[in-house]
Amino acid sequence: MLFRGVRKIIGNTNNVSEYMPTLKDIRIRLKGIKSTQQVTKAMKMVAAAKLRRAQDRAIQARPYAGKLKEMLASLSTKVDTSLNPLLSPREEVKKVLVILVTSDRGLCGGFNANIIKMAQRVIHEDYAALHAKGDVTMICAGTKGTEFFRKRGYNLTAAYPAVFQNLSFDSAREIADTASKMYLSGEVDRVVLVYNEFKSVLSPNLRTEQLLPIAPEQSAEKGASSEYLYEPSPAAIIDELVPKHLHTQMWRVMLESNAAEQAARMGAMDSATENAKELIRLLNISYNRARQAAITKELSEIVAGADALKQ
Amino acid sequence: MASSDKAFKLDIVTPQKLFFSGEVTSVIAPGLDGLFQIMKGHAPLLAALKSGKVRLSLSDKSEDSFQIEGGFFEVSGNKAILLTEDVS
Repeated sequence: MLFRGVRKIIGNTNNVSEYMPTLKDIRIRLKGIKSTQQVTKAMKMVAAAKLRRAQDRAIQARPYAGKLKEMLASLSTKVDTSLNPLLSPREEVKKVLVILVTSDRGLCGGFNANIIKMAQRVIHEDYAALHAKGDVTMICAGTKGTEFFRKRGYNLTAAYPAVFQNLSFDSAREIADTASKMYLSGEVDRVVLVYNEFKSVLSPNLRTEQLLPIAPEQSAEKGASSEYLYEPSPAAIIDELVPKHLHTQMWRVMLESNAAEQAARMGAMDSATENAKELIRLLNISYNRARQAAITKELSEIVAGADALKQ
Repeated sequence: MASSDKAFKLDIVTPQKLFFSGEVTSVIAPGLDGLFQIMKGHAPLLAALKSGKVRLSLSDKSEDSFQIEGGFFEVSGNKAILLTEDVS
């Protein structure tokens, strides 16, 4: 927003002759931009604090998710995974569910625009044939994505606007359960996640991954854990494990997206603050020019007046 | 003295945080097929849990108990990990 503003103002100051802003005009403008700058600076600071918290949460979730994944990997070498429907891919994919994770609030640069574009690409390119038949459904987490796709008449099975206002494990569990229920009942044959991954503060990373069916990584050391006792049985444990694994996957994705959102907002607000600074510099120059011009004009008027009196 | 010889390390991990980490001498957990007790030197085990109470005997002889909402229990070597989605 402010970026576009800069160019507009520079354009104006370059041909001052076209319209000569009065000193007062410039002063009002300067004041406005200064207060905008203060807002963006404050938002940047808030985003930085929230980012730190979001990162902490993501790190805290890691041991649990890592352990579950490890168990799943070691168990899937022992159990015939085709017995669990959530683990076995279907031969024909006729219906697809896309879970899109966006943010609740704007002012975070291209964060939402990019991920929405990505989701549209998945729907219109990867699953174009299915979409044409109306066999692509969506679940949107986050207000922005919900609004976008609802307005355009996409097939939303469920929407979770404002989940990030108060992010809890329960909402992740609910989304994951909805998805697995739809998968088990045959409403959909594949579930795809589209979200912003948190790579680093500077580089946002758009990700698309398959949530269901789960493709468990086969653990490398097959014999290593063979002496384990299983209570009640490996198959029973895996049946318990899979839904829990989905919950944590969804939770991880939401935490990642949340951290990425704060990082994006921090970046956007940082450049807005920079742009405001540049604007202020340019306006100060034209303010001083206008002031000088006014003084010169006044001086020459006085001198001319004095000359006229002398004669 | 004697009790610390019988102690092993237990971590209780939830998606939100590491809920408990410390030395215990015994854990009683609600397995899918019923309660079971784990003490030091147990063979490697992986068990699914149902909702219920987990009772710990800490190495200083005090006891502690938590309510869990399902989960998993793993013993390997001299370390036990309890994974649960919700604990209170």
